[in-house]
Amino acid sequence: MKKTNKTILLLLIIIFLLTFSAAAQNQKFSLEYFRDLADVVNKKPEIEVPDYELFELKNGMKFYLAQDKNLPIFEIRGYIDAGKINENKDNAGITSLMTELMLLASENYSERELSLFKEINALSLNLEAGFDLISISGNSLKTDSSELISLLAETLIRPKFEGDHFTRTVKESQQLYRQRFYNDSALLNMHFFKNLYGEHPYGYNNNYNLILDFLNQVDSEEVLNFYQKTIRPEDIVVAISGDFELNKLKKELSNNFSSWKNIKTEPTKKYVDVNPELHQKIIIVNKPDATQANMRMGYNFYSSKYPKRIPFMMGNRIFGGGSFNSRLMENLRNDKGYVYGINSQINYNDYGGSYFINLSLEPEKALAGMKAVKEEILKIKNGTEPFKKEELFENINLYNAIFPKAYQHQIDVLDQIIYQKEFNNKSDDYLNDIIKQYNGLDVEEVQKIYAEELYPEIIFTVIVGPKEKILPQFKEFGQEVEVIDNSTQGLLK
Amino acid sequence: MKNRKANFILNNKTILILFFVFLLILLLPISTAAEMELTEPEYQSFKLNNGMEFMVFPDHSIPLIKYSIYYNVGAIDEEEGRTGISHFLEHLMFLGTQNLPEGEIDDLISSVGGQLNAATSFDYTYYYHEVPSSTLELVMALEADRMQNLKFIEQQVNREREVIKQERRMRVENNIFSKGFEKIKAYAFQGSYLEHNVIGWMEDINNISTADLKKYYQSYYSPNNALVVVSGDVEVEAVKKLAQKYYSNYETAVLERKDFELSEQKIEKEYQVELNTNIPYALQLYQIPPADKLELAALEIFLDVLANNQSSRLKEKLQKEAGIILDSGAFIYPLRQESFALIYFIPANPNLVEKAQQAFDREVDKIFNQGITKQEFEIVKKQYQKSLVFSQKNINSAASTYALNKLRFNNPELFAAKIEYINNLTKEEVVQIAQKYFSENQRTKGYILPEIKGGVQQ
Repeated sequence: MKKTNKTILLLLIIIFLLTFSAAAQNQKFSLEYFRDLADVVNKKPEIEVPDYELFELKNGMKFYLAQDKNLPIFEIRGYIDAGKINENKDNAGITSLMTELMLLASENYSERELSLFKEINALSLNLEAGFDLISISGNSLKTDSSELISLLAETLIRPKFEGDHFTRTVKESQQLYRQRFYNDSALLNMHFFKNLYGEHPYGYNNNYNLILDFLNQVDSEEVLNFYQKTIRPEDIVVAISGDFELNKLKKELSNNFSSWKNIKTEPTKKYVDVNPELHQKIIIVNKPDATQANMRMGYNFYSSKYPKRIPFMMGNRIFGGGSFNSRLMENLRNDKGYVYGINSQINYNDYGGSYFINLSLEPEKALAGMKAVKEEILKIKNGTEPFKKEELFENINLYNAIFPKAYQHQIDVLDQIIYQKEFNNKSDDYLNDIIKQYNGLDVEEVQKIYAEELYPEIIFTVIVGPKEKILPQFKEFGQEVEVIDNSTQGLLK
Repeated sequence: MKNRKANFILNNKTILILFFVFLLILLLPISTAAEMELTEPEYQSFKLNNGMEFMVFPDHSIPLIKYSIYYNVGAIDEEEGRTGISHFLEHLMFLGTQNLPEGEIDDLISSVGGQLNAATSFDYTYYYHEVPSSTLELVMALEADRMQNLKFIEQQVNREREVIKQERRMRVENNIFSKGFEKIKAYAFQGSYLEHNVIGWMEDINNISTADLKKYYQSYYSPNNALVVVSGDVEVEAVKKLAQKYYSNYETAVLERKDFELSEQKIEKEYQVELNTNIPYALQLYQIPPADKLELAALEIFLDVLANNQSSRLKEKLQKEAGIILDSGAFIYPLRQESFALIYFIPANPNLVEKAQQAFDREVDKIFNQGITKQEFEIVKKQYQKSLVFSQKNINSAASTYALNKLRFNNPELFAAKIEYINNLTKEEVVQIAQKYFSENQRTKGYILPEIKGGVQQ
């Protein structure tokens, strides 16, 4: 027994000494040491498809219902198959105005009553007008879910456009759109997209002069007519996740929405026309008080039906998708110190998308920044510095790590399901299909697809900044540019 | 007789209706806010012998962790002529160490599928990694390395200086509100630690030397000035073991803090900035106590009733009824020292600035004299209750709230105390406390006005 005790004591002393010496020793950090610790391959994630019930009313309005009793909350997301695409040159901006007004007052509630109803019950409800769809989002505590459903019905079925709130909202919108002529990012958006999308609703909607023209003459009847043509039950799909009783909820949805009928009209929609005159064009929007050059370089791109979205997305992650070690960040920030941030983006719209690179830098460095971006593009395009295997690996590894976080909550998965199923004809397993697709990519394929779709020869550039500091660089380089004087822009039709 | 009978029936009907109305009121869900209930996240904390603190918030729902390291130093700790140095140093922390070449920190975290970033605030600087839980040791080792072994190379510092200058142009100089706010706040708190913003003055960014940065790093990036917070798929034992391994040998530093004096404002001040804008902005700045004073919760409620809620006084009276403002809002900046609250409204056009200011003053006076309604008070409490429930969706946000209370006041339970305080607060107390801090002689009125008044865009 004594011997055993001694042995145990000895062992304890050894363990203590070993522990102490491990704690006491200074770590010998080295690149190899860290690389060993970083030898991690993330498991391919699997997103669980919620057990939902599709509940469709006779008027065509659809609800995807999935219970989640983890927390006493109630959440909705949804889409209306209408958007800025339904506008024309004479009513540019009407979708945003309409959705804003829909949230303010209804036939049953004045503006004050409606805002009190929302706040007393802590309801959140929002409508967001996009190019192709209007998105719906809202939430409440479980105890206030009936009030949220009622609010949704008031907003969608019985909005009131006529009244003081209409006049005030139009005036506010006018002031806010005028203010955009004083904001360099807003100016960049306008001059880039109104040119790129041209004579198309996407273009009209980025032309603040057109929107101001519309706001100067709009009346509530025009908005009501637009509402009646665009907001229809058969074009609405809503996802609901949370702590609810299924049958009770279905009854509430029926009571609130089944009597809603609207006359269906099908608007004409057309694709964006590419304007070759924009190719290689550079516009400087003179903003004399700006202390930076805010720049966007890009061109027309595919619609949302582009079949190579996944490999292109991965290529774009490597090139300029936002991480600190993307090619663009490495060159323009880490090597040259030109920019604080730079990224390349793709906007996929149903009737024509865009690909572009955003950067802002000291005005005197505008040309150098533009050249540096083009050089990076050419390195990919010409294959002189093709994507590396490890660059693709780390982005796949990243997606495998963050997908479970992005879809941690049931409402986010359900949101994707309704969007992909109802508007893109995809399956419930869309997210897992995406995971499978990007995990199956190889670097040669990504390089080939990305390089094929880079077109440095057609890049259209808009720079917002002080002309006197930007223009001389381009003149010296012999580069033709068009200068727009922003101080008169607000007056132009 | 017939009539009398009819009356009798009518009376009975009335009683019956009244009875049902009463019953309905009883049965309807009551919307007034009940007492707020806080479900506290489970966490454990520990401290190393050198003073370094750790908090661990386990949540195994997904295989990710958020690893944050907070240093108790920020813009308020900076000296005159060195403004922006906390933020400058934050940038350098990504460039490399004695053991890691430039760019490797990003590359290593990217290679494991992680993301990293940092933020500098008025009173702290923090670095975070969102990484797979299997890489806990990697991030602990990386942070341990850059806590002690940061590399200061003149050429890199100067290149990063250009990046920061561009960040300042982007965030402050070319944003009308930020540019105006920076000037107005500097006037309001001239000569104090609140005069400058986190990014610092351009002149100081130009002048900060590599030696200054190194000294600042050595002064504040020590274990006894740091708090590590790990939330997500993690166990406290694993963090403890690695904390011993990577941090226990680091030596405690002597921390020198400057005196934080903010002289009491007794007379109302006013400042105007003229910028290239179409719409004007009106700002009201007030001093508030440090964030461990529970009275701040009453001030937040007051600001919601006055300016933030859709049914707030300013939005109802000045925006919807009078149409003289476009919007309003308010917030406080809670810090470990005395700080400030900002209330803003946007006059509908430059000619309405004075009228809107007068109307604002009237609305504040009205609350001070007549109080807030029960309904206004209940609306705010209901919103708080909802936020408490929804915040349980994400362990990281709860962890951050507890961490800041620990870092600033060594009191992670401050949040629970705040909820208890609100539960016991009366609407009369809200007004009394607001009167204490938001009187006219304690404020600075600031206006961002168009350079060309009556210009083409009105």
